[in-house]
Amino acid sequence: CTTVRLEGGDKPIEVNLNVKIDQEVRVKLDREIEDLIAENPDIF
Amino acid sequence: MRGLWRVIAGLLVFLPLLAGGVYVFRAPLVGRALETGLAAAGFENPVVRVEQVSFRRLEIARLAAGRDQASPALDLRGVSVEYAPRRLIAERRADRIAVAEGRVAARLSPDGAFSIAGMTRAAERGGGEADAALPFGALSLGALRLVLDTPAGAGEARLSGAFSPEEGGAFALSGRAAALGFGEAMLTGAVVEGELALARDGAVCLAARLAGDVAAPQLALRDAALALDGQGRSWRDILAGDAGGLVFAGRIVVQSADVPVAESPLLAGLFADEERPEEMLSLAGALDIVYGPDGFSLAAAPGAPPALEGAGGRRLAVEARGGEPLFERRGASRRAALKLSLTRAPFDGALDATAVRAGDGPWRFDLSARLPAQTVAGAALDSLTVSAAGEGSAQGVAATLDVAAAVKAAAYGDWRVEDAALRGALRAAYDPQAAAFVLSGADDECVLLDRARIGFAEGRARLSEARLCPGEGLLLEAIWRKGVEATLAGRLEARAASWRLGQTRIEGAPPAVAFRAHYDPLARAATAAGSFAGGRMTLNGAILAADALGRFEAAANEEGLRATASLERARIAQTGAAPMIAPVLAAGSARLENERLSFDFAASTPAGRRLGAGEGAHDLRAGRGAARFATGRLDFTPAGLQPAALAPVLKGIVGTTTGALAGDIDFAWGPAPEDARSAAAFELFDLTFRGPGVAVSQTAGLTGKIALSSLIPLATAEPQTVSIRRIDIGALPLEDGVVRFALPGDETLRVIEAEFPWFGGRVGAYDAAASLSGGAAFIPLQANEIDLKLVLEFADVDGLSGEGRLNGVLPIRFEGGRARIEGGEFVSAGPGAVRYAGPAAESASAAGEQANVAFSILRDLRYESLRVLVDGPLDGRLNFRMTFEGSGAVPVNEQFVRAPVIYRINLDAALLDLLNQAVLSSDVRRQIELGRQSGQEARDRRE
Amino acid sequence: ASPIIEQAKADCVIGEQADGYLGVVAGAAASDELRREVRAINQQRRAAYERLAERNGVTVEVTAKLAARQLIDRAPSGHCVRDDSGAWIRK
Repeated sequence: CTTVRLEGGDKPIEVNLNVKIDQEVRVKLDREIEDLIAENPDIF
Repeated sequence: MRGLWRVIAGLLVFLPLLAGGVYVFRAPLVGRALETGLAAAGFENPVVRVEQVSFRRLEIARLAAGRDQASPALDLRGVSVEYAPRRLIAERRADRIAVAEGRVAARLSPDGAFSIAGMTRAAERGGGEADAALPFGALSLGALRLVLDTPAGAGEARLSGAFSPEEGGAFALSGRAAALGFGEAMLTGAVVEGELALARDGAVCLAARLAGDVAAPQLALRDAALALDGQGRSWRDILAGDAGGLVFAGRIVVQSADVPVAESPLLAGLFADEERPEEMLSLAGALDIVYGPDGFSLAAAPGAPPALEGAGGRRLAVEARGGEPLFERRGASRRAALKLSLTRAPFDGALDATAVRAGDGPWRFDLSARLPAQTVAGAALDSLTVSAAGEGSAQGVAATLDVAAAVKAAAYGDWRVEDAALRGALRAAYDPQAAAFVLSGADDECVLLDRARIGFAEGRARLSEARLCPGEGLLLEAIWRKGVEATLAGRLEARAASWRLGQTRIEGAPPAVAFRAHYDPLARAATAAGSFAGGRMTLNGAILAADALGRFEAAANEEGLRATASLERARIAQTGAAPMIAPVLAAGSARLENERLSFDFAASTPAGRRLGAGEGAHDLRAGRGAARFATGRLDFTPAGLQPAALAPVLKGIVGTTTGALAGDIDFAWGPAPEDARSAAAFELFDLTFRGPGVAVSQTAGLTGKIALSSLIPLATAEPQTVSIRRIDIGALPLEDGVVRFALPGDETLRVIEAEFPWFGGRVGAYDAAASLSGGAAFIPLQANEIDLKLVLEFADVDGLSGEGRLNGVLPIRFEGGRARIEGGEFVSAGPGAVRYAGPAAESASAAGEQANVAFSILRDLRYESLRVLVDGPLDGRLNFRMTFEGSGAVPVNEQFVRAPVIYRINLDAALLDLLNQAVLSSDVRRQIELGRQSGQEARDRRE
Repeated sequence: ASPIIEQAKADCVIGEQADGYLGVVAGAAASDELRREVRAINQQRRAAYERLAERNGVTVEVTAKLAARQLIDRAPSGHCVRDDSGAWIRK
């Protein structure tokens, strides 16, 4: 999850740190949504 | 009517009297013989002084008889009889008898027997002599004073004239009677003068003039002057004692008569006029009478119909109806047919009536009246038609009426009725004793009021298709005394009604009113009481009141209207498909007195939950009023009271709510719309609700006092302050804030200052605006003196710490129910440091030399400047771009050298996840796994 | 949902959006009463999405988008739906 470019010399060191906290889509969530829609016809 | 026949009979009684006188002379000529003859004929103490007797003449100075010698009942002077002896003896008949003067007192007994000075003769066809021819050829009377005593009263007359059985003759009569009775009518103080002509052929010609006072059950005449002339047939039968066959036709003319209204109840009703009560009317007119054996008839003489006239052209005339006689008696049945034309008695109009009576049963009548446009008792009528059929007798009248009336304008004190059209079938009954006229509904027929406009003071009401039905019996009882005292009871319903006063307009389907009203003419006051139910009416098209249930009482007199009403229940709602306030149930009471209406009311939800109570007052004349409504403490519970249920306008803005609220709401209104003002003071007790809207998940612990200067539109006079325990906008929870806001009244909310403590510093909105209707809004939050140490602690990433101060802005855009940070930027104030020695660091070193350097710097990154950019939806993934300028420890040949660093971290994560990490910190393994995956993805992106 | 909502969906006055909420179709005439019903439904959907997101450790946005995909798939033909780009299309 980190890509790092290092440059030397008098210039300051530049670091670009990319942090991505991702979520994988869970099949469990899909099914729960299905139940949610089925159980609440008055709002879906 | 029956009395008139007796008039004739009374007058004609003179004819048998004539016969009696002649009968006397059939007696023997000589005094003594005469006296014995007289005695034989039943005369008491007969005295005959014969003056001269010759072969062909007999002169009698005096012929008298009677119990009282001093004033004998029969006292004739200067009687001369001429005769032919032969005929006298053979036919016992003189040629001529003449009486100079004299006095005769006769008596008619109730059974018709006729007696003079003791001599009685049954008037009916009994007695043999009546069949013989008259005992004289000719009779002449000089000046005979006649005293008549009849069951109908006593009278005195002077009689003169001549007569002969063959040629007929003529008599003149003038006299006075104390009282002369004709049926139920009595003629008192009567003066009679008349001429009787008896023609050869048996025709009787009578001309008489009568004067005196007449007293009849329904009519009293004073100083009446009547003239009667007519002819009949035949006197010969009458003299023969057979009056039955008399046929008589004549004209009775009433030259003049005064009619005292007071003594004629019926007339009192017709001529009752409150302004100028009529004392005396005059009667004139003529009737043609036809008298026959089996009955008689009366017809209005053409051109001179009997008419009653009062002052100012008021007139009641009786005219014939087509060719029919006014009144007719055939045997036992009677029939009347007349046309009454009325001129302001009490109104103009024509009344057409026929009535029949069999035997002595009641009169059965059928009448129709049509009144043209006119003003009657203050009411300008367009037209009134009444048709009625029923029965009448001395006991009273009962009839069914069909009434159709159109009133153009009528005014009674402050009340005005205009353009009213009324029709209906009613039952009428008139009780002469009580002078009471009762009108009641015929079966369950209602009186239909097609339309009516009713005005009271400035207010104007309009009714259409109204029905007045006999509730427990529509009863209009009108009693004529000084003016009409009326009681009206029934049920009034109308399809539509409207009431307008100044700017207030109430219209729709009115409630049904069951009432009982009474008008007292002496006090000129009306009272009414009753109940009302149902109805569906709108006030100014804005407020709907329906299904009302209540009672009322009202009293109106000269000073004005006083009324009280108690409302058991009414459903009050705002009109329109999307009302701001949900329907409520109202109950209360109202009092109206000298044009000022004061009321109190309690409101509850349709389910019966109490909402509060209020009171107010309204000045009808000024059209100005005010009311105050206090809710008291209203507790909101998920299953109980909910704001969105009370005010549907809050639907989707304020979700499920707990906490409590108390409000005092003041309304004021005036004749002009802009006079309408409202204000309210609310106190919020820890109000917690989902919303507002979709973006804000929850607002909790809203507490404080709010003073609104206007409810429509929502406005505050000066800024208001409330405290908020917590407000959740997705990932951005703000707690323990104080909000100072204002409602300019243009459907927007101006946040003057809303400040929350935040990570050791403060975050707040200053002078931001948002639309009240929940549309888009842009709120730039400012953050001051944010402590990086607290932020990192809050993020609670394992092994991550630091310190430093930040200031910045977090502009939040609310749109489509979602909130996003757009262009959030924090800048460091002064140096700081970040230190990370978490698990991601170890796994990262294995991931390669670059990562190792990156994380070694991060182990203790001190910065002179830090800039953080934040963007993204608060309910989704936020993107942080941090740029540190400072120094960090770089690994060089197995040692760490501190070197200047520009360190950029691009963190793309859901703040919610960070929160989860706070939850997950206890589970380190997961932390690593997250690190590895994100690393994997990064590598994929690079290939 | 309530008749007013079903009717509005059928008439393409409102429709399911890619963000998981109901929206008024651009240019459609929606009464105040309908707008209130849509607001109320969206507020309740948001509450449901929050509970589900919390339980599954994902963002409300992701949950809402997943729900949208299912809701759009189920929308009968003739109804209108809004894609990610914001354009309303009639199924």
